[in-house]
Amino acid sequence: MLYAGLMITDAGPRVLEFNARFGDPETQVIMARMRSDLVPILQGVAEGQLKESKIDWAKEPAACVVLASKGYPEAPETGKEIHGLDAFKAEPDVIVYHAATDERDGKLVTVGGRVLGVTALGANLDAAVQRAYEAIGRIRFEGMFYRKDIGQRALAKLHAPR
Amino acid sequence: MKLLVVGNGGREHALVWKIRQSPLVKDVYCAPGNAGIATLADCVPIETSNIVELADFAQTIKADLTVVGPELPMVLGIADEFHRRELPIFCPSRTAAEIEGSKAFAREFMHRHGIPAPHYEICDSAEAAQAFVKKAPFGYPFVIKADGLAGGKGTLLVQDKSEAKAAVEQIMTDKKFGVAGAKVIMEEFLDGEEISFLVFSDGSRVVPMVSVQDHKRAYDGDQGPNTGGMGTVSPSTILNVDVHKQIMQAAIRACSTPAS
Repeated sequence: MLYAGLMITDAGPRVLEFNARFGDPETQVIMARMRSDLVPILQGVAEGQLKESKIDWAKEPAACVVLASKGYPEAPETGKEIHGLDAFKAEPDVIVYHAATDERDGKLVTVGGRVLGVTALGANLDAAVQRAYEAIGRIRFEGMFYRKDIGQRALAKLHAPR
Repeated sequence: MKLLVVGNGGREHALVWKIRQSPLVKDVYCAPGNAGIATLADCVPIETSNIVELADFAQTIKADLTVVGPELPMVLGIADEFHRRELPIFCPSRTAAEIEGSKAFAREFMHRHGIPAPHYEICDSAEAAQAFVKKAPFGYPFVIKADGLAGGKGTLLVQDKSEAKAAVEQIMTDKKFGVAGAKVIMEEFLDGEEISFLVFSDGSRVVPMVSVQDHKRAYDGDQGPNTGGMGTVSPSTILNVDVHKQIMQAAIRACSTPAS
């Protein structure tokens, strides 16, 4: 598999980096939108015999916002209790992917810099972004921070007059 | 089927979440996992760097497939260890992994295969790097990258000569990223929209995934230090048919060579 980080310049696309595996947090939105079964694809790649020529995707766009610990990326605080996740089990359009979390003495706590990836699908990109931020409003841990402008550049491009 | 996923991040939670939905799969294990993954899979306390123990575990449970998320086990050669024992694994070999393990290797690879990339120069000593800074042929700002793996933090955008000199000192003299900074790659700064484009490939067939836009900087308005990534949206809104075609052609060129 191949992951290309690209810059779309006026002169065309330029490859900034190649990776040989899944990106993080790219994988979170990709998996949220994938409709095909992932397992035969992974198996096909591993065996050198990829049978699928096409993957089915949800039409709905997705957004993932990372909730990070104070001090990330240099020196993230850890050991803070995380509140507010129980509600999401009944909401299929929001998936809270865990990163640096652990259960200690029956409590959910932070153990590193990137703690959660709140991922939402929406009828359009605006709706997906809005849904992710609405969900974040119900989650808290001490020192939690996140970017408030995820998707804004993509949305600006989408809504720009042509 | 029994699957083992290696890793403990959000990426691995997403993979486990998706794998769990497959009707083909009965048991999912994750090493070492996290609290979210533990609700979907059996977590086993094996560190991602312990490739021998991971292979032992896959062998013991007779895993039908092991899927590797993080970069560390990949560059340590987990795929080679599994192949030696004839255990199925989704992870590139150490040679293929060099494409991300060494940015100098990747740049030279792209150059050889005519894949469009920024102008660059590789410096393998602090003296050579400081000499480059003196000339600054790409103007300012430009990009200084540590050659090896630095957890997504080895890329620095420098605005002027003093920042450039300080960056070279940090990476090459003070060895902030250890051996990952034994070489640096100087690159021209490109302006535009950044997107991520992923494909599955078995060496001949290339199947694209949906496009993604990442947000690398820590704070709003693309300010602050580089991170592993603070958020994503999919699809990207800047990909048109032409650009898509150009990217796929580059991907096919990259995937169809032995080094990928």
